[in-house]
Order: sequence, then C-alpha cells, then structure tokens
Amino acid sequence: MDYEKNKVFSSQNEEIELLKEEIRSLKEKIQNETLLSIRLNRLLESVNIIPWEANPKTGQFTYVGAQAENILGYPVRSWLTKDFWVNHIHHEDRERAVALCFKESTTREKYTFDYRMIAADGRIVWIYDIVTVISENGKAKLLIGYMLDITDRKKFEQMQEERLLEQQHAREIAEQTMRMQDDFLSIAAHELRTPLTPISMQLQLLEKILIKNADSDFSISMKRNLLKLTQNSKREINRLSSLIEELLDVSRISAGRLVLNLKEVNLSTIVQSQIKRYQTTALKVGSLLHGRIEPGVVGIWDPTKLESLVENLLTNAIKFSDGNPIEVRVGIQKKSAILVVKDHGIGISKEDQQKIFKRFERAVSVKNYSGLGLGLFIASEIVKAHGGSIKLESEIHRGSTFVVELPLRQLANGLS
Amino acid sequence: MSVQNKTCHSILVVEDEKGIQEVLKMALEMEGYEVFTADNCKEGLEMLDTMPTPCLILLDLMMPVMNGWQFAEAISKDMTLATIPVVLVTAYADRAKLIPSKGIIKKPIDFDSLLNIVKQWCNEISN
Repeated sequence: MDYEKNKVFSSQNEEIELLKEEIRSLKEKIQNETLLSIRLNRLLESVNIIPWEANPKTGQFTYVGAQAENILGYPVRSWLTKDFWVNHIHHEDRERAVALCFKESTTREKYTFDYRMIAADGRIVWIYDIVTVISENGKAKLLIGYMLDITDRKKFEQMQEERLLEQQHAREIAEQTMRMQDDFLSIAAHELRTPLTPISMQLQLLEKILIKNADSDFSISMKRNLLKLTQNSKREINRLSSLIEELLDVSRISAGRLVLNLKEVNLSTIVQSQIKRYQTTALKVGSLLHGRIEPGVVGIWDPTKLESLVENLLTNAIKFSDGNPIEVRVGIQKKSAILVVKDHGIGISKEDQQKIFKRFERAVSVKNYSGLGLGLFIASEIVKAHGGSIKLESEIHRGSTFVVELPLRQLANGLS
Repeated sequence: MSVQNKTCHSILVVEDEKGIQEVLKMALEMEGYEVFTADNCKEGLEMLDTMPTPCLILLDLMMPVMNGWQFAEAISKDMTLATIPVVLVTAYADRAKLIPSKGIIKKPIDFDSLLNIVKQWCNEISN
C-alpha cells in the first residue's frame, strides 16, 4: 500500500518537475525573444533611416521607426494618420511619387524611388525610399520599407551641377570675349593698314623724285636731308606695316584661316637671304649672324609663311642676343629639314619657356623690349600648320636655342 | 605672251582709294605712261568705252559698287576688252588667284616691282 502510494506520489512529482522544466525553458525562450526583439528594435531605430510599414491600398503607415520624428520632426503618431505621407510630399514631387508608388506596388516586389518631403520646420528633406511588397495570392498585402535621408547627397550633386554650369558659362563668356577680341583685332589691323598703303607709296614716290631730280635747285645738303627724311619715314612705315601684318597673321590664325600655299621651296635660300637682310640690324646691336647653311634643303612648304617663320626667329634672337653672336643652322635630319637659331643672350627662365609660344605672351617687360609679343606665337603656328615641331632650350644668361623641324613632305629632285 | 603694242602706252587704274589712285597716276606719269583713272569698276567699264584701248589695267579687288571679280568677269566677256592684260593690286593675294591676271601686286605696293610689271606690258611715251 505504501509502496503504491509512493509510486503515485513519485509519478506526480515527476510530472510537476517536467512541467517546471518546461515553464523554465519557455520563460527563457520568452526572455531571449524579448531580448532579441529589444536588440533588433534598438538596432533598427538607432540608424539614420526610417523603417516603415504601410497599407498598400491606402498608403497609410501602420508602423514607422522612432527616428521618423528626428528626421522630419513629426511625432510618430501623426505619421500613422490618414494621408500623412501624401500630404507631406513636396508639391512638385507629389503626383509623380504617389503614382509611381501605386503602380510599382502592383507590379513589382521591390523598388526604390526618391522624392522631397517637407519637414515640420519647413525644411526640404530628400528621401530615398526602398520598398518591399509583401503579397498574398498575387495581391499586395503589406508594404515595408526604409526611408533614407539623402538631402546632403542631393545638395552636393546639385552644387556640382551648378558648379559645372557656372564653369560652362564662364567658358562661354571667355570664348565670346576671345571672339570679340579676334574680331576687333582683325578690324583694327585692316583699318590701320588702309591709310598705310598710300602713305608708303607717297614716300616711295617722293624718294624717287628726289633721286631723279639730282640737278634741281636744292642745295646738296638740303637734298641729302630731304632724302634722309623720306628714307627714315619709309623705314618707320615698314616697321609699322610689319607690326600690322603681324596682327593680321594672328587674326588669321585665330580665325583658323592660316591657309598654306604649298610649293617646292628651298629653305637654304630663304634662310640665306633673311640672314643677309637682317645682318645690318644685328650688327647695330653688336651681334653677328653666323650661318651654317647646308645647300639645297628643299621641301614642299609655303614660301611666304616660311619667310615669316625665319624672320620671326631671327628678329627674336637679335632682340635678345645682348650683343652676342647668333648662329643659324639649316640641314636635313632623317626626313625633316632642321632649322636652328641659337643666341647667347639673356635666355628664358624655365617657367617662361612654357608660355613663350602662346599668344601675347612675353617673357620680358615691354619697357625694355618692344614688340607685340606675337612673333613666337606666329612662328610656332606656322610650324604647326606644316606638321612640324618647334623646340626651345634655354638657360638664363646663357642664351636660347630654337630648333625647328619641318617634314619635307616630298623630296624634290636633285637634292644635294 | 608679252606682245607689246608699240603704239600703246595708256594704263587704266581702277582704284577706289583716292590716295592710292593719285599716287599711282603720278608715279606712272613720271615714268612716261598715259594714265586714266576710275573710282570704281562701273566707272572703269564706262571709261573703257571712251578711252583708247589701254595696254594694261591695274585693278583693285575690294571695291564698292562692283568688285574686282565682277569687273574681271565683265571684261572677259567683251571680245574687244578680253585681251587687255589685267594686273591685280590687292592686299588679298590669296584670294586673287581666282582671276586670270598677268600679275598680282601686293599691298602695301612696292613701286619698283610695280614698275617692273608695268614695263612688261606697256611702252613709255618717251620711247
């Protein structure tokens, strides 16, 4: 009997223990779940994102994360009211965002879009919305998603766009200014040249008359004076007209009208005659032009442009020779003609070497050295137009060497 | 080509710029040529009707009323005028190539080269 009693008792005890065990494990489970849920919630609401749930039919939120209040300033409970979302979208984006949301929710499982919302304090907040559609039997049952505040990114993009537009605008203005300057340059040069032609002709004629009428009533000294005056004026007129030609060259270059008239040209002869022409000018500043010209360097070039190239390089060298000799070399290397003009003058600093071939650039002050600062620009444009290259080696106080390489294009017969 | 007419020593200068026109006339007359001038191409064509046929026309290209290109075309169509040699006086040597001419004198004009060209086509009166 006792035994039976005991048996029943112990089996009841066992059951209780089992139940206790079960309760403990359930408690633990609940505790764990609660902990997990708290943790998840904490995690969810700690990021700068608004998690949300909404009814796909009405668009009304059924849940939003607590951070909704931080980001847009409206308390969570107002988010859950009817039409909250639609009413707080920026009016310019409203129609598009709402239409997109309803359309995508019926056709896709996941989609993203962006739009602007108006915060409680009136700020515009850019939202990037990531939406997942939960469906049942092919019908959207729930929308869940995240709203990201992308205002900073949008602002940055906008700023960049504005900056780009500004740059473009500035470039357009610069180009327009440049065009206006070019037009002005062209008009000015043509206008300046117009009166120059008759003046120069009148002087030439005057000189002719004086020379022809050697037996006139003027005294010899008077005649000498008159002749000197006309000759000097002629020289100044020539100077003026070559400055104007320089301006015209530049305006032609910038208008893209540097047209080459190609024919067979002997560079050696051109350089020889230019040396002869500029020897007096060079000697006046104490420099001697010393030529080492290989004869018969013939190629297909534009003779007038080549003359002007040599002229520009020689006058440049003379101007900056500082009274030292200038060497001029012409030869052939591989399939190119090489023209070297080397002076031992004031030289050009490394920094100025970069810009010396640019329009209007000058490495020296206009006070000490006259000229428009166009010669080397024209020279380099002429070389470029011929498909050649121009290089400069220079050292301050040691002098400058200009090396021009011109492709021969077509070798002429009887090249010696 | 350079068949000179020994009895002809007149030159027609068609140039709208008075300063250049006058100095050309003066210089050429000093060399012994008979010089007729016209301020524009239209006047030049009229002049050709009344004056003795010149041995040379000095033609400026850029002119109002009728430019040098049109003038050159007009005389090339007239049998009696088409044989008169034309020498162009222009600042635009590049563009002058389209006109059949006996020479191009670039502005600013160098007198010696001008007189050299003229001499090829005309006799001085004093000869």
